[in-house]
Amino acid sequence: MTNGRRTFVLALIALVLFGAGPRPAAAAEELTLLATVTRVVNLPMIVGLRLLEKEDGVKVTVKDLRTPEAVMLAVIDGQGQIGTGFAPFYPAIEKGASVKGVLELSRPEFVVMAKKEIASVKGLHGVRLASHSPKATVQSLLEFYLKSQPGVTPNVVFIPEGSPARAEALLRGAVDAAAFDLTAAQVVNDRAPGKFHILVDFTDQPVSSSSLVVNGNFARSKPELVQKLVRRMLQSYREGARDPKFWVRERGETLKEIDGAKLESQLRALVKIFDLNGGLDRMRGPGAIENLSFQVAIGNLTGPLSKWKPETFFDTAPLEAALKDIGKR
Amino acid sequence: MVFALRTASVVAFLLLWEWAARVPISFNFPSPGATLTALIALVRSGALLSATVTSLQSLLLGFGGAVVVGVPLGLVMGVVRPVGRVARVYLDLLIALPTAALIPLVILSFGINIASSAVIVFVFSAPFVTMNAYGGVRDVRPRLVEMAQAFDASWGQLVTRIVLPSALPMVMAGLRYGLSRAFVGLIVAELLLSPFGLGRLIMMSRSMFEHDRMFATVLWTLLLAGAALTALARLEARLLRWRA
Repeated sequence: MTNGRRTFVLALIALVLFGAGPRPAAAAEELTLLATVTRVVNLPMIVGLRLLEKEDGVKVTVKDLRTPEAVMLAVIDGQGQIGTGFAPFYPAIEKGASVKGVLELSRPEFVVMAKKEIASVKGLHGVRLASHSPKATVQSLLEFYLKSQPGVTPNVVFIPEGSPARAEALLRGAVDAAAFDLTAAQVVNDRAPGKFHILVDFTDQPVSSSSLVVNGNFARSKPELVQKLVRRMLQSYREGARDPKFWVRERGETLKEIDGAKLESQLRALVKIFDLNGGLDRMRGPGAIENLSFQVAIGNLTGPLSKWKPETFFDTAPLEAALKDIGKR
Repeated sequence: MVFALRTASVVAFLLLWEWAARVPISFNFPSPGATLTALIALVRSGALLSATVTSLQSLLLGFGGAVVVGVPLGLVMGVVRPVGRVARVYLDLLIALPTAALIPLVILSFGINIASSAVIVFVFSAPFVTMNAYGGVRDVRPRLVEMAQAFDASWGQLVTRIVLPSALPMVMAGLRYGLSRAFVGLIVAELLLSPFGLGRLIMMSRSMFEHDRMFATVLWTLLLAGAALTALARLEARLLRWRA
């Protein structure tokens, strides 16, 4: 046999073996979730996505973008099928975006923390208070709250770098008070015990801070996948609420740099902002109207409130179907 | 001919923009007409002018500082060679520096105020102003210097009669480049450092998906930068009339 023939036969054998061998199973379905930079508050959602991968064989890719507006634009354009929807979700829908909220990811996780010398909310008048940016959820909550506090007008400075940057500014004395998330408040307390305290707690506000937003075309073409996703999210929220160690254990590579015990304590503080029924009560009925009235009051939606219907923003069908399966809490 | 070409390029740009808005290439992409309407509304409401005044303060402070520090430093670097060799390394590093990454450091060092924004504008523009002034001195024709020395020119005369006039074209080019970088720095600072001025308007419109207002503000910033650069080019033409 000549060298040429030998090579030909070997190549043929290799081809037959390759063709006859077991092929890797193609992933049945794929999902891309777009989010702003992953924080502790996102962990239950990430774990929900991991459950979807593990239990339902859906391949999930998470991509971080810098701003909530960028996330919303990318979901609208279909660059990702789902995304985390913060304040820009509402004006986007008003401008005609084809997206829907299918699950409440969290109620507000924000607090206003101030130097101990500022004993009450009245003391915030005229002091430097760090917030995120003009239309961010935390700023909207702050404005909404300050409307109920006549005569209290802090000098709001914007630090759009996220809660850790605002916490750092507070710790370094660049500002006298700051609005940031609960985990940042814990960090401040750990680093400077007794020097700062929480003045306003937004975590009991009956509004949604962030929602799981789905691209309209995707929701219409894959309703069963959306339902699976919602169901796994609920599973994650419920198991984690029972024992936050679950989220720590199931987090995979996410937030691996944070010590497990520390992460668990931060998550324990956050448990109250996760609704075990996916925020259904704020997506339909009177709760949804209250939710939308907040958006109108802070200017994210134009008024009057009566022109808005919850179903314009939320599609509760997948959540209701999932709750029917696993029961309401 | 030049006028026709300019007009044609503007018309082509507007047509392309209109097409992009009609497709649309992305959600809520505004047309040139919608942008112009939003621009007029912003000017009428006074929001744009007050934001411009705020932004110009940090621009003047930052770019002014870059000129006051950068031009003399560049000239000294060119004239005193050892200073040039040492300072050049730092300038090269500053040019290569991802300036946006400095922002958290600037917040902590200067606080959250107009000074921080001016510092960012300075960092964006000063290296280019300095480098061009330095390059201008380095490019002075040695034969001119030799000739002046042959005529017993003093060191002061050498600098004022030979070095400065020869370096002036490069210095002016550096100022123009530095000014355009200052505008970039201004918007970066106002978007990333703390939203105020034009950056705040851009951010608010973006958050509300009012893309026509956002484009209008960006267009206004471009017009401002264009006007400032044209003014500087006129000044340059006036100062360098002797070269014609």
